[in-house]
Amino acid sequence: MHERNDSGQRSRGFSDSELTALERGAMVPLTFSGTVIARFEHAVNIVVTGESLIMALVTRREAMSARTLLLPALPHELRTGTTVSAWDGRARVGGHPWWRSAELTAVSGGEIDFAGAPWYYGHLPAAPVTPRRSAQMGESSPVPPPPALIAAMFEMVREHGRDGGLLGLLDRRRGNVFSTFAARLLSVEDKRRATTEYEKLVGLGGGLTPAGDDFLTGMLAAEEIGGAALIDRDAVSRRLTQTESTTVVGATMLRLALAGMFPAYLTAVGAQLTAMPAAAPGAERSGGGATVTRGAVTRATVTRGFRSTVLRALEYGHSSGTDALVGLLWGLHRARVAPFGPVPV
Amino acid sequence: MKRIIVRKDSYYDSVVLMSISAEIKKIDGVGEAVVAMGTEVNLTLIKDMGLDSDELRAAGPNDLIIALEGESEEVLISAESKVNELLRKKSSADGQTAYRPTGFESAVKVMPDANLVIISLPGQYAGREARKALQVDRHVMLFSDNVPIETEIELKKLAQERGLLMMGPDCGTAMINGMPICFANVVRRGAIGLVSAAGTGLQEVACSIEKAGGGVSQGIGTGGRDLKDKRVGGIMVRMAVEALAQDPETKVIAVISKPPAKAVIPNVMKTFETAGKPCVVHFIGAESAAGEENIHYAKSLEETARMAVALSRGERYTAQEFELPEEEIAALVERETAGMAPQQQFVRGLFTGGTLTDEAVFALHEPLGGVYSLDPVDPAFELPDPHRSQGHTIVDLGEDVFTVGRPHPMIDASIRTERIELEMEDPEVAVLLIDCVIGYSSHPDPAGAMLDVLQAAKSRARERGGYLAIVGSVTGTEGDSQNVHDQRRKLKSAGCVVMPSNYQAAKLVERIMARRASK
Repeated sequence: MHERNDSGQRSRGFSDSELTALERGAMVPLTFSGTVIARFEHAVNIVVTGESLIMALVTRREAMSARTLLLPALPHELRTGTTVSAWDGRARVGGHPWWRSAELTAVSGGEIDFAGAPWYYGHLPAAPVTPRRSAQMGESSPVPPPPALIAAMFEMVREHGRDGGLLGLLDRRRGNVFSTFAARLLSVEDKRRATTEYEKLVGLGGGLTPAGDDFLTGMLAAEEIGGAALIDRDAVSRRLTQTESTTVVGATMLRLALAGMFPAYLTAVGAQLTAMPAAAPGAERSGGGATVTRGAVTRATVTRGFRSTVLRALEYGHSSGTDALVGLLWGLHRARVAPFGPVPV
Repeated sequence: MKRIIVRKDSYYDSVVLMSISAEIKKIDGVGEAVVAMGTEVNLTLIKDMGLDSDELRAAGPNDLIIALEGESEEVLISAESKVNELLRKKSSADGQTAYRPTGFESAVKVMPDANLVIISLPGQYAGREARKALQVDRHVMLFSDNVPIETEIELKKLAQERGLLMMGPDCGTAMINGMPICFANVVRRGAIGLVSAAGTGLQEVACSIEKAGGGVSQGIGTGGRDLKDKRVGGIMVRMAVEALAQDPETKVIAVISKPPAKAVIPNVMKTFETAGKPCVVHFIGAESAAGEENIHYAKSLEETARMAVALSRGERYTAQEFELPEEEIAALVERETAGMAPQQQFVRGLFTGGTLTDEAVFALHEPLGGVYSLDPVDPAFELPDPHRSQGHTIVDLGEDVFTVGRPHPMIDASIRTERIELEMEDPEVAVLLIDCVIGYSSHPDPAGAMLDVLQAAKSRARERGGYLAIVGSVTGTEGDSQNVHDQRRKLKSAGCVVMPSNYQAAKLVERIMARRASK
């Protein structure tokens, strides 16, 4: 919410019983009802009645998605099982005070006002299209990210990525039962079929968002920023209609990704990748594979401008960020954009 | 032997689930442990491991499955017991499981002898908790911002009635009985009592006192509105000065704040005059005024410290703009301006400390003919887009507009490195002015975190045929874990001119720009 400060200007803050969302996901309906299914330190997940998708209230920008409201703070006692209803952009918990507890009872009848919050879409930035490339292709076609940048990201993911998910697809030494299972599935499918049945990864892995879902989200992001279309989107959609295929959190993320809407930590990486034009043909590359000496990409921008964004993404969730970037790299690699390899599957 | 545990409709944070998996695998005799939600493919995987049961077949994607392989029944019992223990604890995000009181009452039960309560809650809740603390005779440090002014007044009046300190709201730094609290530095104890409205102001003065050979008896934060808003009326500044006046360890009192509201000045000045001890006063950006004999006006944070140290020793204070001899300053200015290209004409100040920002803005606004800022000297110079500099610009990157959903730049260096990346692409930038605040709660190596980008910024200017001057200072001490000398050395290695204080850094920038203009 906003309140007037001493000079009469609006400033972000709290009033006694109301929070104002700082951002509103584009797929958050103004009117809904639902039930809180989980509360974490920085997020509350709500299953919306009549939909098998979740909505989330979050306090960290990197967790923003098209089904999320970004809040300055989470209501203190919004507990699992609580009913939430919203009408015309104002949400409240049933008819009861939101965050009442034995020790903190200052707030009654609290509401969240999200009608006027700026929208978050989660679209990845359009990749640049050079006139030369456009003329070659006969149509507008995204220029893939600079290979040097992808190579740098590959090394960073291997060095700083978190275990527990599908990092073993890029680095066999970091494998586990899930990555072994995925690697087996992918390699077998590769040999037998022209296209890999990536949809079989839906729901694979630990975590509330299964690693396979994160991986596929990353692959879908790769398609958006210059990779080839590798995933059979209809097959993934069909898979998601089967209620046993994945968790409701994973299903929500994947459905949004299929619609071209991605979590903020991933769009930040996408923005970095697409902001850097690919090296012109014949551009010099120097040692380490992370330096392009022509165009706007320099060693400094590869190691610095990109680095902080990628590291932040790798730190997202327990292994969600890592698994999404593994998927992103996998997608770029399979589209023959990425220079690294061979991928140890 | 194998065992499956199914928890119906259980949503645990991924961090909890992964930590359970890791902890279970540490148990001797456990072969494999899979902790996952019961999605179709996960159930297939678990069945492939040779594990199956009616319970597993009935599981769905919202159920938590824990599949264990162990060499004996005892191992499996032990592992299952560990799982249950870990799930009960619901580990915090970093996997730690330290006990966290759920509210003020339970916190007091844990530490009944504590006489100071630090409160960091969203503003709407903070007032109530602060009131509870004051009512049971605990001093309060209120870290929270966005506390309504009416609440602040009520709390401070309550504190006044009970003879308690009510530091804040929006108080990030204090040093009580030698204990640094929140963002603070390791400073020797001594004869100077500090009262400061804001955080980095107190830090800069305390560190300058340490450097000048003095020490701090107490460092009391009051919150930015205490003097500035006439409705609060300087309640806590007056109380703090009165407390320091009675403190036998304190020989000199130093007060740092933005200029007080006019209505507040008479009462506050009266408190200083009657303190019975020398008072050094620095109202940032305000002209010095004549006062009683015991009141000494300082023109910078650094001068506040030096003046207080001199007074505490009974010495006469001699003002000096720079510590370095004038010839060295002149040589520095020549060196830093020699390679600049004609189009380089603007200063960009990227700060992490709010008071340090204010000091730089006030020092440079007039000499440079106007500095754009989020809190400018002249309203006409309010920066329209906080994310885009124009002309001479100095910004506090700790402002809310930069930190929504992100840690403060004193903790997360990337907010500033990203901004430097933007600035370095602007060919009109001549000087980059920075701070570097170390101490408790700050980034473990803020200078190190900037090295790459500072070097890159220099290179970028060189590529364009120019030269980027980078000027800064480090707020910290040798005792801080980051070590002030190490931080200075690192900044210098990136080509930064590191001045002894924030004020001297700003004054050097003034000289550089004057020389630049004369060419």
